[in-house]
Order: sequence, then structure tokens, then C-alpha cells
Amino acid sequence: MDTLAVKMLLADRGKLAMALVGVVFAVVLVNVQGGLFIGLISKASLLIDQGGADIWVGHLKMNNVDFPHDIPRRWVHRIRSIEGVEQAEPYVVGHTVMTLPSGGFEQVLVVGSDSTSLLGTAVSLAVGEAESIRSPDAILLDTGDLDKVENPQIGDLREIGQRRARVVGFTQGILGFLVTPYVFTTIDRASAYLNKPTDQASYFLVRLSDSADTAFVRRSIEARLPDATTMTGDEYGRASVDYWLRRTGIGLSFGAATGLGLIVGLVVVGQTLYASVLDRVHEYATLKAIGASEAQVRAVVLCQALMLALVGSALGLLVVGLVQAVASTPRAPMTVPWSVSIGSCVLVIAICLVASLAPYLKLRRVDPALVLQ
Amino acid sequence: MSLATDTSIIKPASARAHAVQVVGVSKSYTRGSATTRVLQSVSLTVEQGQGLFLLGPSGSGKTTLMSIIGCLLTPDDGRVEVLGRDITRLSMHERADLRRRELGFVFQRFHLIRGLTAAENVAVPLRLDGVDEHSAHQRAVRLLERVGLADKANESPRRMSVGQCQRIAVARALIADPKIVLADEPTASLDAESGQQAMRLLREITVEAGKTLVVVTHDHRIVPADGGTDRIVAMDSGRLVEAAV
Repeated sequence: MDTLAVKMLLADRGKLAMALVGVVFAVVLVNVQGGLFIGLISKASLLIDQGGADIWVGHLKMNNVDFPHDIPRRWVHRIRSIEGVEQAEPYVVGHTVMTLPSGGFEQVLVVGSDSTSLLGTAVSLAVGEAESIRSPDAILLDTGDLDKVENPQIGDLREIGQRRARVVGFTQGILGFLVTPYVFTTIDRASAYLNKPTDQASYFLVRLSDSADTAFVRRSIEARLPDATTMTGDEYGRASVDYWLRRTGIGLSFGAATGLGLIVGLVVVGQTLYASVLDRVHEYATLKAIGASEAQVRAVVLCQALMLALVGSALGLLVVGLVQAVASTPRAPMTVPWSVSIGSCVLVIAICLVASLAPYLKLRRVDPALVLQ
Repeated sequence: MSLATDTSIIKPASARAHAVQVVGVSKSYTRGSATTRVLQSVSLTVEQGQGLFLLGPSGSGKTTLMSIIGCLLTPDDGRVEVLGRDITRLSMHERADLRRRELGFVFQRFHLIRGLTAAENVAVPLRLDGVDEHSAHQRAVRLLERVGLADKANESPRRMSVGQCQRIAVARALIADPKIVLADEPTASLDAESGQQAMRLLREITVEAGKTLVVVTHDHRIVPADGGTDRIVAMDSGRLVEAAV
């Protein structure tokens, strides 16, 4: 029945094209919306992902990497003495204002790393070297944020927290979930920019030795620092993503758009298959009259729905690839993992099969005696 | 065109027995509050290999009778046996099986399937019966040769004449080697000459293969003048009003 189903579908190119447009639309919308959502939300944990720490130690109630609460910097010594800890360094993250040459200002997120180890500083640089932040007043900015701070060149000066800052390098693709540019520098300079006491830190970044037991180290840190908590990089990344998901409803917004795309796809495919059945009532009646069973007639419709889903999904993924190549930027990254692509195709196939239900129900009522009237 | 029987395609029926037996069949249709009796206690018998021509004006009940014989409708009263099976006792699935394996249909408007070539249309009953595509196609091509359309096997019927489409419909009716062929106004869409040719072809092939043929028509011209063993039955107002052998 598969050949028969496919040829019946191909016989009406106009309806076939319309149905394929519906499926492609659904696949593209799901993948583009999903890709934009994943790309955007993954920025919430960008600082953690590129930080390179095995364990993040912070205030007991820490819930978002961009919004830390200060803890005493001296606690770091209690961490360093724990077995399995290879390295533990204080880390400062905080918001302040950068004054621009035009007199304008821009909110920035200053990130300060230990000046010796540079643990947690930006490693992906387009221009310059990470080590250059050790030089006086040095800061790193991201190429994607330069327009916000009036396009500084290497060596140009800016003012952060009423202190001088010199641009010594540019990072690449480190753009936060917020529109606030990241400014990477050393921890003491960051504290000065943020007007923060130098005995305070936002986090301690911990690297473990190869043989270390992560759970043991975390338990030990929390035992020694009852007012602090620990999370692995992955855990804190997820916590930071959850923070935005829960507080902004962004998931609902993207989900609604995606759902809308799926509904449109469902309606278009269902309507097209239904119209095709109506158009071919006599042909289906003929099939029944010459002995096609209900299962065979059902197989024709299901096969057509499946074909639409598979071809439409393949075309849709092709379009997604093109859109991704053209439209994905560091500021609005479109990250479409295979799981989303495959999941969307499975979803669309399921939707097409559901959409075939209405035409099938119509077909069940087609009287084979119709062909003799 | 040679009309010699290709026994590898159409096998002759072996013994003469009742192909169809209709006893006291009645059928009514209800539309709203109005009930119309379209068949009133009709009885007739068709022997295997025999031709039956059901004549009558529109609304006389001949198509309803054919629909019942063709297992497409069930009667309100009476008994209908097709090849010895009481079709009123068969389930919908069993009736579909009977239609697929034992009955061949030639419809007034052919009802060929768009998107399929001539050979693919002819092969549909075999495909429904689970025959693989290659074998079904080969048999369809051979049968198309038999009806004089060998060179049209891979063409779309949409580009063919009405007469050619009718021959495709005849081939489709015969492809699964049915014991009974039912033809509903088989010449209604054709001009007089093409209609007579088509009818002659249908009758010759069914006679050669020993098939039972039931034809519903209002066109007296296609009824054989010298019917031989064929039966010609006239219907009016749901009753058999005249019968001749």
C-alpha cells in the first residue's frame, strides 16, 4: 500500500506542496525557537562554563553566577587545606558602571580573577592574551560588546567605578545572559572597580586533583564553612539557568511560540490530508469496493502522513541549517543540538499521524457502494 | 487484436453451478421520513459462466441489486448466495475478502486512481491481495496486452481516451482472476461504437475464461441479440418484470 499511498499523494502536487510547507514551518519554528532558547539560556551559565573550576563555593543562598553575595576572602585557606583540593582561588563578580568618552555610561559586570593563577578569567581571546590583565589598569572586553562601550581600541582608556581602566585585549563570544558587558580583570582591581572591600570575595573557585573525591571535598568544605555552599560547575550552571527560567517566564514564552508552530503544522497537515481525502472519496470508495480492508485504507492515509512528516522534516532541518548559518550570532546564538532536531522530527511525525486521524475517520464512513451510484 | 484466452492470466471456471442465487430480496432506503422500496422480493439465479444482463430505467433497482450481489449492500430481507456463500451472514471484513478474491468490478465512471499508470491501476487488486509489486506489474502488463493496451502500460490514464480507460477498468476487474465480473453501465460513458466494442471485449474475455458476468445497463444496444446462454432480465420499480433466456 505504500507505493499506492505515495503515488496518490504525488498525483496532487499542489496539496502536497501545501502540506509540506506546513510541516517545514513546524520543524523550522521548533528548531529555531528551541535553538534560540538554548543559545540564550546557555549564556546564563557562560561564566561558569568558561571558568574551568570543578567546584564553586559561595554564599549559602547563591543561585545565579551573575548575582553573588560576598563571603570573607580568608575562608579560602580552609578550603586549600582539604585533601583533594589542588587549587582554590577567590573570585569576584559584581555590577558597576563604566563611564564612556562621550560622557555616557554603561552598566558592566566586572569579573576579577586571582592575578597569579588567573583561574576563572576569560580564555577565549580574539585579540591579546589573558595574562595581559596583570598589567596596570588592564581590562578585557568582548568584541560583541564593543559598540556598547563606544568601540574602544587596544590601549584605549575607560573609567570604571571612577577608576581608570585600559583595554588590553578582546574576548570572543563571552556575552552574558544580561545585556551587561563582561569586564575581565584581576581580583584586586575588580574589588576596586566595585568599591568592594578587599577582604571580600564573591566565590572561591576550586580545582580538584585527579584522584580527588568530589563529594568528599564538597562535604569537607561545607563542614568547614557552614555559611557557604558548594556546587559543581554543572550544578551551578543549571541553577543559574533555572534562576532565569523561573523568574522571567522565558521558557513559557519560547514554548508558546514553539507550540503555536506545532499547532499550525498540525492544522495544515490535517486540513491538507482531509481535503485530499474529500477530493478522492470515489477513489477510496473504489479501493473499498474492490476489496481493500479497513486496515489497508488506514495504511494509505498513515503512509501519506508519514511521508509528509519525513520529507517535511528533512526539508525543515535543511532550512534550519541555513537559518543557523545566516542568523546565529554571539549575541543571539542559535544552538540546535541533535537532540532538539531529532526530538522535533519525532514530534512532527507524531503530529502528522494525529493529523491523519480526521481524514481516516472520514474514510471509515465512505460507503463502497458509492461507486455504483 | 487477438482474443485468444491467455490461461495463465485468466483461468476458466471448471464446473457449472450457481454463481449467484437471489431469493426474495427486498431493500428500502429511508431519507428523512420517506421510505422508498427499491427492491421488492426479487429472486433470480445466475449460473457459473453465464452472462446476466439487467435492463431497466433509472430507479428500477438494478444497480441496488448489483450492489447487493457485489457484497456492497446488504438486503433488508431475503437470502443472497454468491458462490455458495450466504453473504447476509458475512462480516464486513469477510465481504471485503470475497470482493477482493472472487468479484471483479467494472464501474460506469471507471474510477481509476489518479497518479497511477495504467498498469498500476490494473495491478491494484493484486497489490491489495498481497502480491508483490513486480509480479503484479508483470501480470497487469500481460492483461493490458490482452485488451490491446500493451503500449500504454506505463502511461497515465488521464492522457487516454474514454474507451482506453474503459479497457483499463476491464483489465482491473479481471486481474485477480475473479469468478464473477460485475459491470455497472459499462458503456454509459462511451459512444455507441466504442460501447459496443467494449462490451464485446468484456463478454469475449469472460466467456473465454468461463467467468460469470453480470451487467447492469439501460442500453439495449449492448445486449447480445443472440444471447446464447446469457440471460436478459428487465427490472422496473424494484421488481423483475420480464425475463428471457
